[in-house]
Amino acid sequence: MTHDIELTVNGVAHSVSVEPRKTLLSVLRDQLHMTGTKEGCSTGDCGACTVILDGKTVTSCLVLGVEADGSDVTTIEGIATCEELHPVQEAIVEKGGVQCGFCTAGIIVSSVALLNENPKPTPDQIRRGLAGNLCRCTGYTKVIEAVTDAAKKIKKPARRKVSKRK
Amino acid sequence: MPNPSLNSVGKRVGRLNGPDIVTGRTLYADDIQLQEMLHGRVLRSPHAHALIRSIDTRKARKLPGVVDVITAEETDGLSILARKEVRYQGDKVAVVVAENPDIALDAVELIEVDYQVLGSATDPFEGIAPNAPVAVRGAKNEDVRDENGKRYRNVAARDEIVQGDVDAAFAKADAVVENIYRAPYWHQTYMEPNSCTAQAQPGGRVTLWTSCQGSFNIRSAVADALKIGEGRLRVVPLEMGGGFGAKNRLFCEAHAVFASIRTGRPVKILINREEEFLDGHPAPGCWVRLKTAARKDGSITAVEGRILWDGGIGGRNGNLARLVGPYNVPNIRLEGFGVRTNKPTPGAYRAPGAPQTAMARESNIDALAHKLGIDPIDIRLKNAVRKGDRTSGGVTLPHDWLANTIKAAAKEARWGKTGLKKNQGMGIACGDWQNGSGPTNAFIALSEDGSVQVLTGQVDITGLHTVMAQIVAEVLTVPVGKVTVQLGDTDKVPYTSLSAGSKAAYSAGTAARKAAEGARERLLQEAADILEAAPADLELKGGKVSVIGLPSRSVTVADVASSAMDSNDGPVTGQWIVGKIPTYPSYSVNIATVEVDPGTGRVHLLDLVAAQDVGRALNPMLVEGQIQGGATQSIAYGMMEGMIYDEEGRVRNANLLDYAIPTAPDMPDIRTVLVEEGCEHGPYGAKGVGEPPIIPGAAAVANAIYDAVGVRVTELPMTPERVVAALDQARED
Ligand code: FES
Ligand code: FES
Repeated sequence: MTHDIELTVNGVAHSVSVEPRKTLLSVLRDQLHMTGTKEGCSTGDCGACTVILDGKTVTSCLVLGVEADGSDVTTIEGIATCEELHPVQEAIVEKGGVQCGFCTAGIIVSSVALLNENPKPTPDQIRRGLAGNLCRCTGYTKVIEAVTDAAKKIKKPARRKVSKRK
Repeated sequence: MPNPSLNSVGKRVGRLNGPDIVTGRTLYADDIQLQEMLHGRVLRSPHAHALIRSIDTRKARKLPGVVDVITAEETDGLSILARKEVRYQGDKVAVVVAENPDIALDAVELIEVDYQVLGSATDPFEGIAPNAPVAVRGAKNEDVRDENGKRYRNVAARDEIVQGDVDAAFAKADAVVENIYRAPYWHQTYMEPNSCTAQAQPGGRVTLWTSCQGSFNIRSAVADALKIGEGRLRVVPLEMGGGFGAKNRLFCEAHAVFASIRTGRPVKILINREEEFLDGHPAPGCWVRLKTAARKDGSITAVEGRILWDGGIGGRNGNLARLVGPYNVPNIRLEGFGVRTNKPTPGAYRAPGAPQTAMARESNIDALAHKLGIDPIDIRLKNAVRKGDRTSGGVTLPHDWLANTIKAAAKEARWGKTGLKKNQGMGIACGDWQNGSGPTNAFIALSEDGSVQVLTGQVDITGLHTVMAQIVAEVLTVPVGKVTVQLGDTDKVPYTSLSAGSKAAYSAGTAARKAAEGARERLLQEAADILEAAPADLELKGGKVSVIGLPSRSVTVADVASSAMDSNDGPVTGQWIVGKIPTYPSYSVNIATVEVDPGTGRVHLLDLVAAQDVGRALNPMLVEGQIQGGATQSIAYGMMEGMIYDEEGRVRNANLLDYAIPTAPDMPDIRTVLVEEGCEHGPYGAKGVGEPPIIPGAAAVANAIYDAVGVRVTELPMTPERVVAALDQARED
């Protein structure tokens, strides 16, 4: 038994037929083939699967696909255009905030959402804002540096850019 | 110390594939999706130790969507699935192959296995008792006896170091410290659970995509497990979502290949997080009794003790010399046992065995310093291996690397100069690691536009390819952005060793430099024809070849590369294959500042200085990042991490909620100090960087706790309960 749902992902409308037990993460990765969002645990503990759902960050492994019916989703693929990186993405590369990169999609999505709400966070606020995103490689020092740096570069609250990629 | 004569090497260059990673475009192993792909799932033992009486797969086979069910019986004598005995919780019993992961999961639950549960050994100390349960039936063990002549159980391996006159040294010592330390199994907890996909092709070859630290290593291991020739396999390594040593070894690659050969369709097996904990390759735990003696002046005169490694079903032993560490100790009597326990055989985790042994060694040295009234820094400087000393790895040191790293750490941390409040303390610990080297390669080709393509078989674990690009850019005097580095699979490049043991940048960096030098020579030769000059009269600078002293007679790298396409000698290329290169040890020193709440036992890490002797930092930003990450892992072992096994030998914390790793709010900024004194064999003076950072952190925290509240916690992790217990004990004494 499947349910037909409609959702907008990175500005593009999709209708998908989903099994009731499929998570939003699985819909994104397996059905829409957007594999930028990662699965690190499937229990809501690592944050690798973080996406923005109707303006709020969620761990997409804990959201059922059917629950996302009618919603607006931003994933890592929708944070930048092909030509221009978001300041957070740029800073993560330039400041060495990425090592293996498996946590990175989640870290970036959470940071972008954090900066949307609080454009001038202190390092402590950034640490707390990323408390749900585990990173095993960096020890966080350079991640925090990068997000702090990105915040300085963003004049206005970050606009969400819509990917041109289909 | 940036070297002013270098343009690319030594610069803080961001990851070249960074833009792909941060936009979610980089493919990791689980992102591979193939037409007609099936999904495999493993049925695992729920028991730590049991005999299999029978397996009934009939119901599972009948489930619609199930394509194959594989048990030992179907494997024709291979040992990829348990036949009669399961030896740890998570041991593989059967593999279901189905149209989708949900069906595979349902089918696994329909397999009925009748087990006869056996006694299990999950602790090495209890596991060697003469009457302990046998961990693995029929396994060959050493005949080692206790003082009553009774044979110890489950001792798979034994070694010893005996040197000098230990008894006399203890008799003459001014201070002696003896403690028992314990450390649990410790999971690498990379964020990417292992995933692999195999596709059998007509004609018998199989392609395997996997997350691994070495494609050829995986190829040999799969070939061995399935008793097939290496040439039948093509292993394609993907971007790796963290490994730290664990992904040196197989997860379910052999099973995926086997299932794909049987079904004729691609088969993916994704390990979930729980399976990672049950059947990964974590670092071993250990039990250590260590006794250390010193003279009044702080010189360490003797080390005596025994270590029991929690060796899993393989009974893996460790490196005993690590209990002595990077210090000159004349009298040694040490004994090490690799004890079989009902756990998966441990694997490598950054500097295998070093953090556990450093905890014991560095705590004892610290205790001696306090007993003798000597500064913990001074006692280490007094005993540190120095220039001219021969290390346990057999090399003679050309510099005072360790002493200089200790001094650099002390300076950065303002050792002895900071005003610590009540219940705050500072602790220092040191570590050493001699990196390996191994077969690797670099193949370079220049394009018409002067861009440079590099191919290597060396898997990039934390920026290796960026560093290789920097080296190539340096030699060819082009901007780093003009260089791309591709990872070749086992069909495209010659045998390449693992990216592990801090050897990737050391070895592949050397290959990149030599290959680029070869390309440079070709470039000059080709330019000589264009400029009608002798190659010896030419210089390559800023992307141009010109006649020395006549800068106007010049030609760009792009022009040379382009015209070479049509020349008699063909395109501009260079290549280099490395076998082995000599190596030196490198040293890491951590100074931790903590605050202990004596009421709750909670330890708060206020500051961490991590100094490391890196030879030369090829990319300081990436080096600092590796040091910060490694130090964080060690601190976590010190304060919060460890796998917990219950009485029945089952893992009680097989998820990321109960096996908590540090989050951003748990950590302070880690201050790094790079000590750069060069190493004659490494590329541009570099040494291996990846392992040393993880060694001293836990011990530095232990010593800081002592400094703060005067108690020594000897069991990892040093949880609030253990700190409180140590405080209570101290009050009673
Ligand atoms: S995969 Fe969703 S939180 Fe880990
Ligand atoms: S960069 Fe590897 S987990 Fe964060």
